[in-house]
Amino acid sequence: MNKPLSEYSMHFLNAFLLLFLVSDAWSQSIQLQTGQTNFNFNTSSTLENAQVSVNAFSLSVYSFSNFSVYAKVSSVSSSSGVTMPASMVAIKLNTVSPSRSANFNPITLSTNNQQIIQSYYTLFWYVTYTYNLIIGPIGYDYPPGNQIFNILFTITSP
Amino acid sequence: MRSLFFLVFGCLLQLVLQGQSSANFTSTLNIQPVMELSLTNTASNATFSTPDQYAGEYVISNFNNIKINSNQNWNLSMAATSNVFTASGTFASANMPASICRIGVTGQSAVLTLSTTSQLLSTGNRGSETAAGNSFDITLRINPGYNYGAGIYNIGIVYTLTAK
Repeated sequence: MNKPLSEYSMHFLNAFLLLFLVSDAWSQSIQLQTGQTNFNFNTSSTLENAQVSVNAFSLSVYSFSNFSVYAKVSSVSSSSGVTMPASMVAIKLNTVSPSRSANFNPITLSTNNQQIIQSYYTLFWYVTYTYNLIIGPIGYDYPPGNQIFNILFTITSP
Repeated sequence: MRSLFFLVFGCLLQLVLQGQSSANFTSTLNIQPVMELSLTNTASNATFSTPDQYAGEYVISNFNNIKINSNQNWNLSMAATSNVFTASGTFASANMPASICRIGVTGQSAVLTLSTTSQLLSTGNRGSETAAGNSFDITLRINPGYNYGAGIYNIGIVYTLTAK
């Protein structure tokens, strides 16, 4: 006996929604909030010592699966014609909320992706990693002008 | 009804789960011109007490030590603060000129006669004081001859660091 078309449609819709939900079960997200990420170098002391912006940025992550976050300097540009290396930038984890184990050591960035976070699923809840941004010491080898670093974070599942 | 439930639940879940897999920010470093000169007076006094010192040229090869930290290429100039020495003492002469002194970077042949006109003493490249050419001694050569009376004489020397 033939079922009504509307019943087939309902089964199709249910199957579609089920796939939709299953696909979302692997979903993950990274959101960035920034504070003070710009630096001014105008004295000998600022050139000769590493400059630290405490709690410069936060990465809020949720993931339905175990996840890794990678960071890299995606570009550096300069108004002076002398471009700094990516290694001039480092980050250091300051806090994790809610608390979970993490790497609190300073990490010097490069133009290649480096794993900065490896952790387990969060389900619906965001876990927020707050970092200090560390520059230099830049020394006297870079002429006056602006150096612009673009820093990229990517979340993946292992 | 069941489909409607799935649809509504799915849409809500999707709204909750909408996210992004990457994020980025820009950090701008604003570097201002910074130039720093540190001077050590290693031997700022000269005592003339023998005939040879009057007859020849009294040379102090480590008169001053200069260290430069600069993020710009630099020029170092020097000048006397007055045309003549200030003199004290019963027999001191009031007219001993700055030009009895000649100044140069130790190890280099160029020597400048001291005057109130600013003269280029040395140049260098940006870098810290540990960079080649950013730390050096100054040689002072003094030749008063026998034309000035015994006494105590003083004169100021001003070093000026500027961007090249």
